[in-house]
Amino acid sequence: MERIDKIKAARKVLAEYKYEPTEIIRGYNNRTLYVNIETLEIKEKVVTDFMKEKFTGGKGFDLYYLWDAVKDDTKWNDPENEIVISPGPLGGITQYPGAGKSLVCTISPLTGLPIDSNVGGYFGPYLKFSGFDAIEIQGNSKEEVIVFIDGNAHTITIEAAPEDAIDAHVISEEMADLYAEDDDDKMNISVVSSGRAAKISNIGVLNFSFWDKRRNCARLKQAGRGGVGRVFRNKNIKALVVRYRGTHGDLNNPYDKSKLNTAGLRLHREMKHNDDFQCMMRRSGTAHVTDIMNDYDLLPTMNYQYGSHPEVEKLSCYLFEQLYLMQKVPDGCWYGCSMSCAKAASDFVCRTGPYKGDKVCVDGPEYENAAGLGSNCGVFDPRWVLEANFYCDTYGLDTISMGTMTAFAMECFQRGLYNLDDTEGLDMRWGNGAALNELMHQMVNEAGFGMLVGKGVREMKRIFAERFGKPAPEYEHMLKGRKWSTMEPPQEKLIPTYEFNPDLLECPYLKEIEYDDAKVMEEIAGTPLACPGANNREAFLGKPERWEKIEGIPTISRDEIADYPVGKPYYCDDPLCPYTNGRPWIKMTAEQIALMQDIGMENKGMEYSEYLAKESLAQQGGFALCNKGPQHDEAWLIFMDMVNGQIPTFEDKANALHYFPMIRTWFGLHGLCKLPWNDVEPVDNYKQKNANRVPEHMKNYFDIVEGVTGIRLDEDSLVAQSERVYTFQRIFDLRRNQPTGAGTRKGDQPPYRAVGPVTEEEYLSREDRYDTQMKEKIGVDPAGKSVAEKIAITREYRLNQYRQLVDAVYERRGWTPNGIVKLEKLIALGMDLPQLVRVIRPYLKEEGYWPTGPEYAKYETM
Amino acid sequence: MIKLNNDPYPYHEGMTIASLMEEKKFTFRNIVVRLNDVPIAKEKWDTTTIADGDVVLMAHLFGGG
Repeated sequence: MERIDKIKAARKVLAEYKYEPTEIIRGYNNRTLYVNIETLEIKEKVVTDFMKEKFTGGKGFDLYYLWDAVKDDTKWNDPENEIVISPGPLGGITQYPGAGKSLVCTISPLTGLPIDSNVGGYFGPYLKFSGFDAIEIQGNSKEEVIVFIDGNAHTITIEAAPEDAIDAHVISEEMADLYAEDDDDKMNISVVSSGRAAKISNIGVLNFSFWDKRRNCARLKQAGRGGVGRVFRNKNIKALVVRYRGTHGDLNNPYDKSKLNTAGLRLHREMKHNDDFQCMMRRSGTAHVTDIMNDYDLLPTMNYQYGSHPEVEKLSCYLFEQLYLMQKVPDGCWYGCSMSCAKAASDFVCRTGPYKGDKVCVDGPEYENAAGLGSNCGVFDPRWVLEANFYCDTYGLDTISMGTMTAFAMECFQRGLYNLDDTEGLDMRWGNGAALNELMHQMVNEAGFGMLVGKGVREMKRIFAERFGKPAPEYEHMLKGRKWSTMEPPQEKLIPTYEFNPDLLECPYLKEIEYDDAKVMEEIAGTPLACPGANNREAFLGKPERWEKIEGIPTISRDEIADYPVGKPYYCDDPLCPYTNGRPWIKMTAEQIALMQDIGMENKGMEYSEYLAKESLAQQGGFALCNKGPQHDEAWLIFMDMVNGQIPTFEDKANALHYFPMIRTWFGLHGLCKLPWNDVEPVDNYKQKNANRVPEHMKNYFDIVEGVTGIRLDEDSLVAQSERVYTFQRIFDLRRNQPTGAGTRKGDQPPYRAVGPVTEEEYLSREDRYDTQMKEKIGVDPAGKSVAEKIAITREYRLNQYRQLVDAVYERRGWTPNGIVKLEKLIALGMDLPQLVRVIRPYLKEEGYWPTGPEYAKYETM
Repeated sequence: MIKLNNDPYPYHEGMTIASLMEEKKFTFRNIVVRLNDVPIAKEKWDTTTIADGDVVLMAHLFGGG
């Protein structure tokens, strides 16, 4: 307790606010909380009927407040940028599974756009039970602070917190120790924190805690996408803490509790009887998907080049369950969730970093972690994956972006776009799990190549292009004989993973399926699927000699880079990325830059999540048409499209790309988790024509909304709730006027690897499929054509298909061919709000879509 | 030939729902089957035979993360 005493002694209350308790009425407190940590203003705001009608709650409230908080040109790190958190009107119910979600929005450092991210843990419900439907955090504090909401004492304090930890697993437990009256009271504390790496990396997450009594530790769920944690740490916040004692099932004061109970019981029964035969969410969580994705050739492997890998068994959910998930019990991240998919590897011992040798609790592995930090980086050692999972969480980094960024950096390294000099010896070959973790330690230490990777794929492409070229022959003399390090990665025989991780030898699952790692290594040796970095037990291959400044090489300003010759050395500073190994910068060739554009898996500035999209046109749209950037929560149509063949036409795909994103949006408006909708199903669901929509569960949602709010929805009114907010977000993107073109057609373009094969290896890995498609769908005989020719033909065809898909989707959504929401659509949705009309008006006029007639006259002057 | 998930697929004698699923390596655990638009319960997959020209839907109800 010495540590807690020290924290306490250093604390200083900077502002205090007392509020009157209220009663939640049908899911709403009808007030929200505003906290400015710079001016120290704390106040309440009234939730109006207008807000509820147009924005519902959750993500809707977040975006509503965020719009008003920021100016058109507000940067992510400006004080006026807000972090808004809201649980939604159904948030906190305990009768129906998956009702503890919080939605978080801010202007993203990755995209410059509003990002929304959903997260479990107890913070959202406790915030609501403390009296608030949302919290806005604005301002940038000059000193490190925490914000504490005491939901029982009805006080809010902003406190200077110089001694508190920053890493999430530490501060979450410290706050529980600090604020709980006794051990039992720790269940009543929830902490929002980030981590040390979020201070410099654009992919910072927020961790939302809940106390795990069985494991006696704080568990962490992540608002992962878009860099919310970086905004949080830039504001100098260490934690938001809420304490609420007295949780019970009726706190939302529901309109008709029996409807909630009945729907909840139905689903609990399904979970009990069906889950073991369906998705095994209680047993394995989302990690069950890893094996499935591999079986269907859809698992992102080595930067999305391939869809499966012979070593995937080492990332199987069965293996994790047997070796690392010590308490084999269902784990919920909110009360009453019988799906209980939040798995944890407790007593995991770290091998690197500041917690080396410590026994820690890793929340995971989720599917995205196993795929992103595992197969996509060629890392097939489950211990490295879990360690990376742990460090991502506690340092405050998004596991999905971290995986996709590292995969891109590894591929660039393997293709010779940069070398060991540029990484100061860090071994970025496929499979080096130690290097994957070292990148994160470097971010925390603000030194090393990891600082560069932490910027994200979009920035990496820019930085690599400016710095990592090779000298053109006519400029080679400028280096005065200085050569790149001759250090070469050893070409050793591939070593079985069990030599690094003996746990594998004890795994019953691997024995049962007679998996022979040594044999697999022999099979893949010399093929593109080999992961030579797994040979290296260390993150580094050595320490190359540092470059000294070379006389005669000019120093230029950033503005001069654009016109500076390719291949000619120069020096330049980059205040946004101070990492350097001392070597002069050299611009890459157009071909090298084009390759990076094709293989850098980002759209709108955010990294792709972990689904291989290139064989499913609908999934390509699901990613690149997503308002916030390529996150699969807008549409995961990959099976419906590619495997089931259920949406063959452009119109079918456009309809699916309308309906499914609206359903996902809807969960985010209400504080609900999506998983109980369609990751367990009634046994007779197969009889339904629209089985994919799980009609009985949709009825459950109509019931629980009515049960809480008294409002009866049907499918149309449910979709309309979402469409209002979805459209608002689309126009918010447009208002941001980002160089990516987000909010217009330009912003909805995917990198080509998300559409088709970029390299010869990729084409050859599916040669039969691509050749057949060429013959049957494109109408070209592949016989006699070189691989390069076939790649070009496939590319032209697929990009044309994508163009037609976008046309169909825009039409279905009521947008112009440039992706601008039409005025008529806004009016039909009841969203013809002046601030939205003002944004779309110049675009519609310029494109000739501004409607004429007296009924539209009032919109001219809005 | 049969039509499987909207694509032509070679028919052979003795084909059942279960054997076709195995042939296609459909390992996902939550699949809905319709044979000529008639839903087929899971317990009948072993015994339900497929005839030449049939239309089979094996819809993977994949939820996504």
